[in-house]
Amino acid sequence: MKIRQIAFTATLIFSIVLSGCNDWLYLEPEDGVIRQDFWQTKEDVHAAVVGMYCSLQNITERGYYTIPECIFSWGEIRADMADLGSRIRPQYSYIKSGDLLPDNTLFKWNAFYRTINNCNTVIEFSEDVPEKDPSFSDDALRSYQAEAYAIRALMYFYLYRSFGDIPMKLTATTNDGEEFTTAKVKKEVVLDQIITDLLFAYDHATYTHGDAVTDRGRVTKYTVAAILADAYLWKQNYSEASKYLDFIINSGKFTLIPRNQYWFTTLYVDGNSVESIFEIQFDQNILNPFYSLYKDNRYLRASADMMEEVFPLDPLANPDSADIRADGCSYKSSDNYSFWKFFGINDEESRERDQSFANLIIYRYGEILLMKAEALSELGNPQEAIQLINIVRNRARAARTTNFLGSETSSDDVTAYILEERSRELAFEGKRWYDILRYARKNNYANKDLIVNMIMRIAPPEKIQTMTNKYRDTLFHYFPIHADELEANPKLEQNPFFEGL
Amino acid sequence: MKTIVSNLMFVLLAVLLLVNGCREPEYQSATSTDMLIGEFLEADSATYSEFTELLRMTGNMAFLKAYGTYTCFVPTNEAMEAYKAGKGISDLSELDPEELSDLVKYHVILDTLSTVDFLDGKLRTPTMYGQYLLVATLFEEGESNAYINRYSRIIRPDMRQSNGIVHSINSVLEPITGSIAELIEADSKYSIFTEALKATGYYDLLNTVTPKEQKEKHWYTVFAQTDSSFARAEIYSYDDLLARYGNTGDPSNPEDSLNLYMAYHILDSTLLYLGDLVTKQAVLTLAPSEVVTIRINSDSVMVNEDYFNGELEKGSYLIREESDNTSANGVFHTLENNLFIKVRYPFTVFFDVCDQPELRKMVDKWRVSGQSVTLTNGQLAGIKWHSDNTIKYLVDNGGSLNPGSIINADYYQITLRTAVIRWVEMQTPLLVKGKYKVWMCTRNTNTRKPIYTVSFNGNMLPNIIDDNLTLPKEPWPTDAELLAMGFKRYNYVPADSVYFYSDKHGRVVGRLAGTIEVPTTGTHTIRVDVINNEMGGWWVDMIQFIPENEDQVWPRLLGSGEPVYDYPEGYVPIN
Repeated sequence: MKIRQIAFTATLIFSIVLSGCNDWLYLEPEDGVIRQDFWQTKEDVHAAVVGMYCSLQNITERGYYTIPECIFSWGEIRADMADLGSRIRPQYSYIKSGDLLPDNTLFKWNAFYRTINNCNTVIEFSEDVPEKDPSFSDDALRSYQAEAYAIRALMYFYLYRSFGDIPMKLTATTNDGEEFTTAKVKKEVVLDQIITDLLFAYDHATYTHGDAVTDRGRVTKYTVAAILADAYLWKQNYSEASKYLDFIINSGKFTLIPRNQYWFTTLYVDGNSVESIFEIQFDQNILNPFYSLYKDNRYLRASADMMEEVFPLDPLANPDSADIRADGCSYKSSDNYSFWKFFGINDEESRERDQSFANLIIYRYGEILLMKAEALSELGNPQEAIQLINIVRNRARAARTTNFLGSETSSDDVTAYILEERSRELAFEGKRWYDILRYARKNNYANKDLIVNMIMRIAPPEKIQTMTNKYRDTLFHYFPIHADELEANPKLEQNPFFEGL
Repeated sequence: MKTIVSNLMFVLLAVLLLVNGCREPEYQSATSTDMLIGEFLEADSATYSEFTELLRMTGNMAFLKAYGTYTCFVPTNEAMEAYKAGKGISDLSELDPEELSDLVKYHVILDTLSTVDFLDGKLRTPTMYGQYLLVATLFEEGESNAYINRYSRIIRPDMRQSNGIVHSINSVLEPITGSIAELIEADSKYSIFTEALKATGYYDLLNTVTPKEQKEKHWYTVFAQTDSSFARAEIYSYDDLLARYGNTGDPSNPEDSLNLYMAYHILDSTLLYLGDLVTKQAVLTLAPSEVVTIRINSDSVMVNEDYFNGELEKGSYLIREESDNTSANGVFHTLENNLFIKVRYPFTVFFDVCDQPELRKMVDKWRVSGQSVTLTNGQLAGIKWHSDNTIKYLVDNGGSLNPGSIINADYYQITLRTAVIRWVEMQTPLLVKGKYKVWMCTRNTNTRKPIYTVSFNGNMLPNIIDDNLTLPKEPWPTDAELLAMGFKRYNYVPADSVYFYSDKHGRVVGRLAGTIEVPTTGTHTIRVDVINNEMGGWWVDMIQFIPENEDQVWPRLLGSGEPVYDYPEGYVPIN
């Protein structure tokens, strides 16, 4: 593992390089880069926190996959909604055909650990600043630290869902020569640590940074609650999940963007809307990586077959009254089934390359309602769950052909239906594989068939048997650790399925 | 003089030091992966010493220590011990040297095959022994593992060395010596089938094994039936089978319908594992002109399950666990239900002319965006042309041609001129007996000027095709107008809805060459002869054979080759 940057320097450099971020990310360059000189004032802490957020963006550096590309591609490639496009990116096609090779560079997690180290740096070195800067209150300190805890938890949460057992570094690495030698911990322990971090963050995070846009780009108490609820769903602790979802729902600060002509623009084009809870920010100066990946190069696109299944046409309905999440929102059939949430400026026109700064939405209110529905259903209240699902469906004018046909008193039916609705509502928001995996894993993998059947549908005919049998092994549901990491960190062991590879 | 010499020496020494001093770190950084397979095996004697010894005894170590492209399946020492114990020997030298040599050859393939190349079924290249290895990923007791020949587990795959790849395995692979006939006979569950093979004389055919020395093997593929599959068709004994299908009283007579029934279970000169079968639409059986069709249904391989006139005809599936049985002269699969000859009607064949086995093997080129390969005459078994000039296989990168308009993005560029390449001849895929219209699907422009005729089995078709012609624009002709002119849009480009979902330049088009009569079910020859000597070349994507009484326009094909059956509902063509 090559996290050997001098973290505070790196943080500062990010801040300087990326000072073209949104206003709240703007920072006057500091002169001093020596640690003792740096962590002096609350402005220093602020700068480091800003740098931490910037590191989530589009850092292009040799050997690094950006966090947005990882979040999106890890969440979509293994599942059924996204297909390989007309151009080949071997890193993607190997994963799609069930060849998870430890030398696939897409399994490099450097960017995540770099951000984690930025978080660790903030947590560790901000601690003494109030002593030096009397104007820096303890509350303010804890609030900044809460942001760092939350972002660290979010990073570990992605790694946990993608790799399973992972090394957890909770202290700052500040010395260039310091080797990162931490062994893996069990994924159950990882999840507990994530929750512990989030509970601290929840206690100390601010309700608002003062304006609505900043509140979508920086962590608030609501962001923490959303991540926490998601983590509790993975832990199958539905009553705790429910508690934090209620906190968001009852706050009155969030709502679904109503279905009107500005719906798509507000939610996906402009971003940072009242529906949104947390987004990775992009702007004119910091473009997202998706345009070159999925529009210029068409490495991935929406699966035409799946789109028909997920958004079936209602032969009786007027085409103008179709599900607003279908063609022209989640995908654009006339643009080679591209991921329109990132490329459209409305349902017809496309962004130009230099306008490719749609934010990457991590959590939004639509998902909060569906998470709450899932918790309710799992807690034995499927009827109430249906009402929440219908709020989401009605906003989108979901097709009658996708109406719920199961029993309203059956938690199993309703829970299964929520997965379907999630595929419509959260299409190409980097969620699909994680959803399938989370559902399959429930109750000791009682639903493993979800994964196996999906693989049967998408595997090439000459590889069906190989792929389905690989996916029957639950160890295969997590990526291998990249070979470079194993070489750099002698304490690291390969994930069991890939031992010997 | 002395000083000059000593000065010179000093300079030399300095230079040497300098050179050495510079080089040293380079040497250090580059050694670890630079081992040959032979060296690698010798280096890990704790695991591989027994197999290394076997290689030495049989004189095979030398080539594994030379540069080349090998894939070597290496049994561990434990596996070798178990093998010796099974043979009741304490030392390998107690075995016949030829047997040992065969054993080694069965573990080595002249190709570099990593796990990425493992499809369901046989590996793409045979072992040096001549037989193919079967690879399968099996899921047992909560674990999924890759196996060779279903019994030898791969312990460490993909150990790359400078002359190939090593996979270590936990059990020695033993060449299979039994023929298909023998293996079927040895298993009592095939008793009726065995009796029928003997009565019809096919037992002897399936018992012939190409001698080991002969490089070109003669393979068979057999769809065998168990007694229980017969029982499902209410056939409980060989006599029942004879009563049901026999008509002359002499099943050894090739005209007898039981003889044909059995021939229908045999594919001659063909080695198709399940992983190969699923890539075929239909395969020709030993029964004259009769085919079985193959389709995949979720993860089952279905035989003769087809839609004819919109009706689903139920077929039989192949029982995966009891199929892919390797033998010395081929492979046999096991059917769940009774398989009998069906009357076949012609069906559409979209012949992607670039889908050639030789190109498929070029994994880094075949259908890889932006790649191209220059092909010499004789390199492709299925395509021949006049003269020693080369032709070019290209995969469009979505830039130069209208994206999605070339099916699978690949095509040939052939300098079709009377002065360069006068004619090109291609073997068609399997065509069922019947009448078809033939469509030549090419990319035309006004700079592309070959004018040529098309012949099928030596008979020239009526239309002369001019690749200078593109579709008229504004108004764009309708499908019916085009058909009347002998044109059609064969591709379906979702982005170009304004242009009837086809290439907006009107350049990638299908031209009707004429109607052919396919005399027997099988592969045939199609040939183009150029009549002019203009520049520009022939850019050919596919040739379509569509039964003459079927829709000639739909389905059209997406760039991925997937069929599209109609315009979207409510689509109003804009003119």
